[in-house]
Amino acid sequence: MSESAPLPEITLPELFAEWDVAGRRVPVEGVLEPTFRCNLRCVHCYVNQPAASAEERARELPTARALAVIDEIADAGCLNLLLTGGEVLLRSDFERLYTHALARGLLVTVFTNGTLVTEHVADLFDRHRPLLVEVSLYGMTQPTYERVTGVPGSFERCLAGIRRLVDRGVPLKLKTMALAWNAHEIAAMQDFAASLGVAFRYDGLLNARVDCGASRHGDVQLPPRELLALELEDPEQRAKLAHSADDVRALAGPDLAFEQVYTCGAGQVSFTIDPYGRMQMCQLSRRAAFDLSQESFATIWGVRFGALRARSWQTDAACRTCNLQPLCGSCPGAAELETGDIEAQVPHFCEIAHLRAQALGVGEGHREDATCCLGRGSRTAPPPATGCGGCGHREAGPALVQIERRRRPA
Amino acid sequence: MFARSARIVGRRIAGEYVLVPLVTHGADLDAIYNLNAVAAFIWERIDGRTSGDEIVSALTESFEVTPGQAEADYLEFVTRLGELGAVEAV
Repeated sequence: MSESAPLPEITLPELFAEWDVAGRRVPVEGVLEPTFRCNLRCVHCYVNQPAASAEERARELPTARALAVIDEIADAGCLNLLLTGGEVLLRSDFERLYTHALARGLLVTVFTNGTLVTEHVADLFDRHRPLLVEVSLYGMTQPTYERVTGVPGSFERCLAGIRRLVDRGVPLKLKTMALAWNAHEIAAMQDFAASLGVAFRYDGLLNARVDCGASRHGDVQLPPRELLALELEDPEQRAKLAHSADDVRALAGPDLAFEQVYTCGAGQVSFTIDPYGRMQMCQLSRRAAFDLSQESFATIWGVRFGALRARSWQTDAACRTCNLQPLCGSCPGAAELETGDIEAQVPHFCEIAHLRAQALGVGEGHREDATCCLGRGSRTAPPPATGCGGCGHREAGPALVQIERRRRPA
Repeated sequence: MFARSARIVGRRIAGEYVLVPLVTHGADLDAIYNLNAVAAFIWERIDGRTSGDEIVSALTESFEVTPGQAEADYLEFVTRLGELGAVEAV
């Protein structure tokens, strides 16, 4: 053909690089959260709402509106769409939303806890293939898994869901949140994933709740040194850290001072739409949320997010001049969740970043205990809260409802 | 004459044109297809009503190609699309 090869096959990263989507601010990566309700009550979750909550369901986008939002997403140029929650399979109209997204030419990834992957759902994913399904696995034994999820029987239902997907060859990955409660079973989870021929990943950085900022880290959060030990034992994690260490070396120098607060893809190539039709920069940075029923996607993306992306640092916060950022789990969104301030430090993440840097030999100018950075500059985050009370979210209730009856008179 | 298959979706994104396959039983999506201007021009006219001759004629009017080159481009592209299951003869 006259211009070039007529039908070149390219990977997504190649495509996005070729299009310069970051430089041109094209919203190619989207997240749609049709519900925050979940049938599990995971101790660490940052969004879950009760599955049966009529109040919460009433707040969610109705089907017709959710389909229209998917149309807006596609029209805006999104290519990669993540459907997540909450537990997205709790939506009774999930099949309609999912197949509509595929029909609009979106490459759809689904995050699920797996417990609602019935034969019907697995057949749906077989008939209409997603780019990927990622199932969260919270332990490799029933006691551990259900201690995290708080729901009896959920472990077996999760394994059954995974088996249904594997039996149909649906593109699948497993993952977990590495917690103090399940870290001893991560190796077993990795082995399980390998036995199924699927990839596995974990994340050890817990975030505060999105609705009220309450953090229930407590004894659930894996201590920094234990997380580091876990990462260093894992060849894949170690390789990722080594790559980030190269970025740390490249940033080292006395003149380092980031100009813009946001340096990630949020609002640059990616966006998040919550169950209520509000569009945000990402799944963490939610204070600036814009209602899609009031403004168009194009206006929010172009004007609102454009202004947020242009935000320069307003303080002398230590993070602004810290070359350990590539090794740090903090970001404006995480800081906002923890403190309400996108420029604040998150002490727990700061400690982990310093430990990683020392272990990888790139901690020059920093101390292992992070005292070089913690408290330096303004707006250091207070210690994580242990509960809330300022919002509507409810702590996990008892697994069984005890019904009290009066005894009959003897 | 060809019609587009329901198994593939054509999309224009940020001035570019891509074909996204809809994948079913036992297959994985391993590629999408980025069309150049000539390919996108042809794809948008494959509608089950417009003949190959008409598309070739439109190509010669819109691009600096000879009728022979345009016909070769058209045949090469629809052949590849046929291999992908992206078009069906009607």
